[in-house]
Amino acid sequence: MLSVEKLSIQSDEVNLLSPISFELKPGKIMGVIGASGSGKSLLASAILGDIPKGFSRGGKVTFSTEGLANSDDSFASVASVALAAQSATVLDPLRTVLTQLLRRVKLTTQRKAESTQSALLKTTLNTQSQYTQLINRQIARCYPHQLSGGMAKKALLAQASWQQTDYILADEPCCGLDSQSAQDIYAHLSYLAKQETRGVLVISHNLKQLLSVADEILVLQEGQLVERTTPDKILSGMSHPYTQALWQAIPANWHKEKVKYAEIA
Amino acid sequence: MLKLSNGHLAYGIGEQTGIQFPDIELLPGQSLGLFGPSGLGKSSLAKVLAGIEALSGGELVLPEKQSGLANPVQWIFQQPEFAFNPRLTLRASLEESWRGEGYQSLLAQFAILPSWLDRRPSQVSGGQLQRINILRALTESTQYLICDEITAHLDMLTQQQIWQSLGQYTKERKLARLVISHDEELLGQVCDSIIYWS
Amino acid sequence: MVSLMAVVPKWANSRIFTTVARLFLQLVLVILLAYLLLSWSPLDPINAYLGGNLYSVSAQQKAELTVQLGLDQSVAQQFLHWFNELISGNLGYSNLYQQSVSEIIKDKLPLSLLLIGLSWLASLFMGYLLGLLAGLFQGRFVDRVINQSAWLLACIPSFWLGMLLISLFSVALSLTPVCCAAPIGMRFEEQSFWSMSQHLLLPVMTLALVHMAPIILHTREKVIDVLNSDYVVYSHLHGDSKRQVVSFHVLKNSVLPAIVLHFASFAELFGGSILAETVFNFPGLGASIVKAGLANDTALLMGCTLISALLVFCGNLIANGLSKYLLAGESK
Repeated sequence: MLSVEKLSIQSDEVNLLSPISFELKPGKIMGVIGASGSGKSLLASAILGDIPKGFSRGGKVTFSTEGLANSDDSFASVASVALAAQSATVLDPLRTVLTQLLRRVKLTTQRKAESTQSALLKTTLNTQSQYTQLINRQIARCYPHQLSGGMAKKALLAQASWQQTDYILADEPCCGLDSQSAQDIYAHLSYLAKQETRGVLVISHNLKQLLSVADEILVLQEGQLVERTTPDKILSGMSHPYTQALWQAIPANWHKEKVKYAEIA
Repeated sequence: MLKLSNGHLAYGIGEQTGIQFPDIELLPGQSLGLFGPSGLGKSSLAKVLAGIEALSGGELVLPEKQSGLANPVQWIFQQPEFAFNPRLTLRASLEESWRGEGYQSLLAQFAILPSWLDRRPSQVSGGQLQRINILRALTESTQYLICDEITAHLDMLTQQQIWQSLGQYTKERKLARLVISHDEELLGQVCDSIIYWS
Repeated sequence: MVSLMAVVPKWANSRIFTTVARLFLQLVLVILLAYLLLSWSPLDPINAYLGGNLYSVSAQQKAELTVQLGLDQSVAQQFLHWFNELISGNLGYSNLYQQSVSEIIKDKLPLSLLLIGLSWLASLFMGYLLGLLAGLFQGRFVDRVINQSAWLLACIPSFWLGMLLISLFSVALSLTPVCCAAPIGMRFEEQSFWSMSQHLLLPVMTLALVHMAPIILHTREKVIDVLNSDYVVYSHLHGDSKRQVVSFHVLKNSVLPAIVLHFASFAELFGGSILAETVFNFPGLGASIVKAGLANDTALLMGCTLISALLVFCGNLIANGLSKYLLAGESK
């Protein structure tokens, strides 16, 4: 379980992220929703230890496995968390996607000192595996600047999932994609959570897509955690007014009547 | 009236291929949606309608542009960061388009705080900048608006607010709108009819 | 605009055609300019031909000489004559050396190319290494020393540095020969390898030192850029050590731009070699250009100018081509 306790990012003048606490369990997908500037991406960076210059991090992030002692690091153990970044600038512009992905696999297996390195590589490249379903030959052979929006998002997700970490943070994995590509991405995220029992944190500004795939949802506003809720509660109108406002802001809901709380009993 | 029939745009020198545009007809007060996957050339279509790019074939009827006034067809696109001179304050950019301070009365309608106007484009957020970008296009002479994925990168609340303000304004002034987007539900809410381009 | 495009035939669009056309246009412009400048030269070609002994010939002999050298014709006529000869493959005859220009070029070009080539390689290699070090240790002592030295080197004229090095290494320390490409009396190819190296050392060092400054500064900026890039930050966040990041990301992303940039500096290197050959008394093409200019030897000067323009064009062309294929991923 990934425990985040009072995680915050602040400087002397400004509070970017107020103390936030939550847990992410393996096999679950947690969504993080909020308007721009709400601190969603900052949350992912803070968990990884990427703090903007001039700011400091407060609180702690710990990993515990049931039955084993806590591994108490004040910074997230790198072997446990990987980021599926928002933009393709995290890919080296002069190397193909496959080269970089394979390198990620090689480095992480070295780090984990697994004796079954070759076995892991074989599984990764197994044509039956989900990994090659995400990355086809076309994407693998491209250089980052040749990737279209959809291809880039798939490459970025693969960059994280091929690292075989226990937890994955996906930062806007479907921003700007058409519905078919978004479905592929979410299918892979579900696979990672359900079939491989990894913990997945998905950051998005698209509440509708998130509701179809997340088990729980964290709502952020201006760096603060407004509430922690579930898709059912949002759909039935039993969540914080700000969350409801976000739900109402979805184009499909623009002219729907606001659900009155009194009627849900 | 704004009308495009059999529109065709060739690219490259001597190339046979090009983009075949769907037929479009925009009447005052009408809100028309254009839905299509990216990469097809929706922005090229917008440029042709705004008079920035020349058609290779077909017929284009544009409203008359009076000399000295701005183009009656205004194109607003997705990334406002590229639409502003980074060295001017936002107020200066607005006054350049409006040739005066006529925009002041509309600030509240588009939820723009006057304090933002003294900043430079890099000092305001994407949502704030896009609202100012839209306001800049709504001068007296504007009759037709081409909204090219204008809220694609904005969060839901800002998107809702922008379309509410814009919808109200275009209804008051009987402006015509071509809304280009890959969000079908948005088009369903905001347009009278939708063209599906494949 | 669209209708104009329809007029241009398809084959005219090919890359080879546009490149050749560009080369042709550039060469024509260079030639015209050079010829024009030469025609404005205050130097008397007759005087140069006679080696300064203007009064050793009678007036009639001088008149005959004028006709023989073609100097009685107008500048335009002389130019057209030269151009026509050029098209039929004849570069002309040098009055200064009393040889055909093609032979002179054949004789002197290899040495110049050797000098330029060695300097190019040395400045690239050393420049890149120093820039890499400066970038990796940004802000520290190593970086400050390299950075300041690079700026200093960028300001130093190559001929001054050459003379300085001569007075230091050749005169004061007697480590290197004082001048020339070979011991007196010997041709360049005839000397031993050791002797060749000794004679090439100072000129190459001069040119390399002066021309490594842009590479140092550019590489340093590039390395700093790469170290601050999103992909390096991502690698660090996911556990890569600094060594791993440097070997995988930094090296490739900085070496390729350095190489491409350096190909485009052929022009400066050629200019620098003219000065270096003069200072070190190297019998190369650069020195010939100077002598031809001073002697108003039109044919030789035009021939050398043509070759140097070709070399510069090739350098830029390679830089362009490499940039498209190697650096396609770099975005603005």
